[in-house]
Formats: sequence, C-alpha cells, structure tokens
Amino acid sequence: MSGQTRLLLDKNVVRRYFEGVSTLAYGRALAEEEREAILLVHLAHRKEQRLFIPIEAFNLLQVHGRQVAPAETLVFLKCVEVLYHGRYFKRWARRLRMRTFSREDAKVLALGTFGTNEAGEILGVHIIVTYDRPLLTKWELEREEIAEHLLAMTGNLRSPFAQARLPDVRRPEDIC
Amino acid sequence: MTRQIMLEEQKGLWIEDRLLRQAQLGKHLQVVVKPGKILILPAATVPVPLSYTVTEDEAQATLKEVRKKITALCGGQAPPTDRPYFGGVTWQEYQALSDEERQALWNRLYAEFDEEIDVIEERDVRPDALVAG
Repeated sequence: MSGQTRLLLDKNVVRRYFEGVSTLAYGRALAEEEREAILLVHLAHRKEQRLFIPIEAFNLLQVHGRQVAPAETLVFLKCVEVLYHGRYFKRWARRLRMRTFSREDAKVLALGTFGTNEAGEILGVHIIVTYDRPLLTKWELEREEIAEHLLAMTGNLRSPFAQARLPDVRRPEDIC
Repeated sequence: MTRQIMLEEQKGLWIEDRLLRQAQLGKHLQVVVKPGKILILPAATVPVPLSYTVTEDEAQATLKEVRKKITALCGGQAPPTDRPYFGGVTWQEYQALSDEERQALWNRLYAEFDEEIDVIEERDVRPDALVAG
C-alpha cells in the first residue's frame, strides 16, 4: 500500500526555516541551510506530503513565535502538523536513552516510531529530518542493532504497535 | 476485547468479513508468517518516493512566493529590523549572533517545553492506524 510520506522536522530545521523566511522578508541573501529548509517545507507541502513537528516545537512557536515572528509562524504552521507522543513512546525513548542518545534525541527518535497525530490515525513517520551531525552518525552506526532492539520490544505488542518501524534519519540536503 | 475462534484448515483458511471488521484492521492487510504462528496485520504504508529535485527557476519561484506571503502578512512591507525576535533580542542583534549562539538561544527556548520522558502523557493510537513502514 502506498501512502503519503511523513516527515518529522527537528528543532534545528525549524530554526533554519524561521531564520530563512525572516531573511527573505528583508530581501537579504539566504544561507544554504536556510534555503534548503524553506524549499523542503514548501515543496513537501505542495506535494501533499505530511510534515510534522514535535509538540515541544509547536509549543515554542505558540508562545514565542506568535509574538516575535507572527507572519512567519502563521505561514509555517499552515504547512505542518503536530506529532504527539503515542502509546509506548516513553518505553522506547527510555531504551534509546540507555544507548546514550541525549534526552532530546531519544525523544525525537522515539517520536519517529511511536508518534501519532491528534486523531491517533498514524503511527510513526518515514523520515526524521535533522541538521544534527552527531545524531546522524550515531544513528547510521547503530541502526541495525536498534532495529533488533525494537523488534524485541514490539514482538508481543498488539496491532498497530507490533508493526512499528524505525524511521530514516536524513539531512534536508539529502531530500531536496 | 480478545475473542478466540477455532478455524479448521481445509486447503486454506477463510476468515469471515465480520471478524475482520471486528478486528478493525482496515482494508489493506499484510500476512506475516512465523514459525508456530501467522499474523494478519494492517498493511504498513510504503512512502511515495521523495522527488524534490527542482530547477533553479522553480526554487526561485518558490522562494519568491514565500516572500510574497510573508510580506503580505506584514502589510506589504518588510517588518522593522529593530523588531523583537526570538530570545529577547532584536532581529538586527540576532543577525549578528554566530550559529552556535543562535543554537544555544533556541536550546534555551526549547528547554522551557522539553519535559522529562517519565512525565509525558501518551496518547491512544487507533488499532487501524497507518504505520510508517
């Protein structure tokens, strides 16, 4: 079955997007990463692929973004949905923490597997998009072991959690 | 609710529609065969391949469109450069920060909303949820 690709943007991609869009508003030249982040968000949105941000990033934008960059926040939030912590998120995040991922990284990775939308209609995303090089490297090195670890955890879970999978972790430049 | 039903194999198995509906598996199924058991599960979604390759003209057109949207929301002109921006600094001051300083600023803002794993409240997921696979 084919479906819409679901992408989760981490905090640093969100930051580059805001810096870029504000820079655009002033008619100044964009840095490469700002340009990538803007193109990623708007091209994915145009292709009707689903973009998500962690609830923490959404709350940050609701509290700070709406005050200091209301136009940028409005345009951005029209393109993205919020990914919430689904059942088993905590168990998986704790296990990732034990593999020495930082708390923030463990949470983003666990959201990629056990995140859901407001209606609980989805489980996980296909790709986590990040600029975090240490995270990308660690994920690449340990991915196979982590996949086995996940399989051991989900083996006895009910549907749909039994089918939970690891997401890909990529840089925006590997997508745009 | 768990319900047990005995089925007898006769050149294959037939599972009634009402039982499949009761299991809320959705219309697309996958069958996983393992030693000692066969699982019937909702199909995982296979992503549509990403193809964001755009020409420079298309990229420029997209950026122009985004700028137009932002400017329109700002009343047709760029916001003042001394407007407050993220982290309590003005846009001008923010521009002068190094990438590391900007990252530290966002880390500080993000930390306000970053809860400990153990206190997070988890949400229910539907049995027929579309699984990223």
